[in-house]
Amino acid sequence: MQKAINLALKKGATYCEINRLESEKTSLEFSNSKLREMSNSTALLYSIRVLKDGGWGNAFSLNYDVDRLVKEAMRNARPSNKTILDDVSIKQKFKTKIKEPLTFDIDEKFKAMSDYSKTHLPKQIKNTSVYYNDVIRKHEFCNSFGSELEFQDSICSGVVVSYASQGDKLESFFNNISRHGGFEIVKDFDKVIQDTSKTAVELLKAKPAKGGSFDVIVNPDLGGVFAHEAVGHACEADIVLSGGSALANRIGEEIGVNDLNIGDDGTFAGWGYCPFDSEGSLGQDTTLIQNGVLKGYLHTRDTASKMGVATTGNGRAQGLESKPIPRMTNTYIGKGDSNFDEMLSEIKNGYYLKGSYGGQVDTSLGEFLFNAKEGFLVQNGEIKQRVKGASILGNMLSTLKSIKLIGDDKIFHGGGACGKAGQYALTGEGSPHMLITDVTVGGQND
Amino acid sequence: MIDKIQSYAKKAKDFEIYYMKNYSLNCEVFNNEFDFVSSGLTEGFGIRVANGKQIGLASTNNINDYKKCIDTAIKIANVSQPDENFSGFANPQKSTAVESFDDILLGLDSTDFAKLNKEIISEMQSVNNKINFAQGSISKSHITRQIINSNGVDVKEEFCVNVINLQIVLKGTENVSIDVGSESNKPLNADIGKGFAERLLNLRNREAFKGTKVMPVILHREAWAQFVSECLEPAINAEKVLEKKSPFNEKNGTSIGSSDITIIDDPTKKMFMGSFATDDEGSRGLRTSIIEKGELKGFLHNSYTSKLMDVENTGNASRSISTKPAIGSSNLIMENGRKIDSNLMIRSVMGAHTIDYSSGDFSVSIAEGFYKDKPLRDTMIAGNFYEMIKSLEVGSDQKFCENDCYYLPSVLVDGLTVIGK
Repeated sequence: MQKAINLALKKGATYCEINRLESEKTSLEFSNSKLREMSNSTALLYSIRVLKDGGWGNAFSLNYDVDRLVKEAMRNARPSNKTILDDVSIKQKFKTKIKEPLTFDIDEKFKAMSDYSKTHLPKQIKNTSVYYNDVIRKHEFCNSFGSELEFQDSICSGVVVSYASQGDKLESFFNNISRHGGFEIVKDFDKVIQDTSKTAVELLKAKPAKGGSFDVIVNPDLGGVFAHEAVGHACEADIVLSGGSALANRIGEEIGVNDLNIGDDGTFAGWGYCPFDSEGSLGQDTTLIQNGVLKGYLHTRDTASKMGVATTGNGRAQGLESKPIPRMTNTYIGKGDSNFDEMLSEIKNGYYLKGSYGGQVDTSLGEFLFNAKEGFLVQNGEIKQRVKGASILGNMLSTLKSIKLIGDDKIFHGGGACGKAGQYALTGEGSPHMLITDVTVGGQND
Repeated sequence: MIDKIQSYAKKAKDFEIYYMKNYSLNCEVFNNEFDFVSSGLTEGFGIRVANGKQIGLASTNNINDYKKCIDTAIKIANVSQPDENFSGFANPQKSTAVESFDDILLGLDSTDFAKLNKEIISEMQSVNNKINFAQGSISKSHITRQIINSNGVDVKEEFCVNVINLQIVLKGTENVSIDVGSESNKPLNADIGKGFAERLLNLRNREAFKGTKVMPVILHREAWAQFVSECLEPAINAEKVLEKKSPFNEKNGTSIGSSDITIIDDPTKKMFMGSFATDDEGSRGLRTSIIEKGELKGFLHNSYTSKLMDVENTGNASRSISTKPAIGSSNLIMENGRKIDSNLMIRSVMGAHTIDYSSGDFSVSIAEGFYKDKPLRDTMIAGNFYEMIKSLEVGSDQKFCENDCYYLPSVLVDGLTVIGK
């Protein structure tokens, strides 16, 4: 790789980085315990990114043809005013911690997942689909600062979707157990299938949530999505710099309640684990909100230099073809000192909402939405019947000040694939239980 | 190279090769300027091998490693569980070539896109000079796809698409921004900038809807396209019907919507975005009636599901190199209706991807919407898709939608819950 860097510098680049990404993926799909797909996929890609005449150019290819890649990257770099600050050289290797390596045969994986899929289910379940995927990846990076970085990663994922039917009604529910690690992640997956199916059946009897303003308890999974949508995106520095964030020019301003602390941690081995970003900057734990005060943003090298701060290691690109942009890693809300029972006792008529189907945000308006997987009516401090189809709509500049209680319970790091500017990034989320007052809940009224 | 792959694949008696080559050029924009230009060629293939009823699938983008990939597929087939419903790969069919993109696209480079960028900004700023192209991209993808199987299928087609995605911002006392975009099989025209600018300016001084009310709502074709994509598409997918995941299971031939609704899927339309001569198994694309005057007429199929349901294959197999053929629409076209009117018009919603197609329940927020011509914020709508189509009224403004292969009019929904402050 050093040869390519030397060639690019010789041809007029002021900075150069080289990437090599190799991966192998195994996939299994079952429908009602019958195998639907069994597959293996391998991939290899090289890329060269240069800064020349103030412009960034990138070229990628399967073949490591140094001359051609450098030539194409240099041609793509259109004259502009971009710069890059000097940085130190970092030489480090990272490896995901694994208990049961994924390097065993596909038929053994098939047998294990097939056994899980055969678990006994209620008669209302018409279909249970199980998706198993594992990925072993190796990413090598070096740049003209002299950095040499390597990340050997292993990801294991089990997803189950259960469909329950009674009469004309059809309901579905899903669970997703996905982490960086080995086959130990899908251990006891039959229990996950059983729990998922049980909830799908319960949803057949659930009534739609009513729409309106309510006090709501969010569970750690949903609270994590709240942090991601309500704060995380608006803290991405490219959005701040482009005029699209309601949190622009608010560093030092109190935007949330006093015991609200939100951070983003790329070093944590959660779903968004990112030991170094696509620019070769090491991941770190970045404080976004401390005691309710906005403290910082998430940066790439470029946005950091524009704001006169150090990069935070959040410059992530989906693949070697794409531009590194500020992305979250593992976004979390810190523990408070309340507890779930205390939160329940505060609610006269509201909801307890759990899990998320995802969300979205309009960062300039500060408006965010996320959809709960499960919901329960709460009346006079007691959890009543299950409801379905509840979403929460909020505005970051008011909802963060409507958080009444933050739990002291264990933070749960779930996550998913976050979409931004046509790219997907694996992002993790975590939070304690929280009580939020006067929240707009979307639901169907008669 | 494809000849070598095919020759080596013959060591398996039954095989299907799905080969894809993609040249892509992506120009990222930040604060009106090109910020990052990336280009490259990727080339790969997926191979399915059948050992009787045992199927193995392997793929690679490392085309030089084709032998290892084919050997892996054979190995997987030998250990795989038999699929009793599998009765062979697709058979060759006569297909008709269809023009699906303008050749001029092939010659466009980053200099052309830089010029387009400047022209679009100029068009936007001619409407209001405080509008910026905050960030986004202009890109092009040229795909060559070839499918070869042991039954004699050997088809090759090319596709090319020009895409622009942008977040535009109006800086001022109130920051307003909007995500807009367009996909085209012809070179994009800078005059789309004026429309983007007008949409952005229409969002100034947004206010929340007051209270919670059940009322009639117009879903502009773009918002309607979001619901069609999240709910209708999976519901008419024959694979989901067979696996009892679709609410349209056992509803074929029955009324599922208002008599205003007529929808077809047609890959044969010249210069439509989703057109093709053959699907991703090499089967010819067919014009398929999905809903006719509210009655469900059929589903979208690939060769596997059509054999199971004993119907003609509609030619809707859709896949990537690493997956088995699934099912996808080509061009979904809805017939025009009549003039519709309501105080509340929604152009797009936020959170459409959270809609549950199996129950049809949704509660999403209004991204662009107007109540009595005043722009809205902090407002949600909630309902059930399968209930709402029963009384749908269809408008008369049928047009291509922005980012999907849909050709739809706007619709009027009677009785959605609108939740404001």
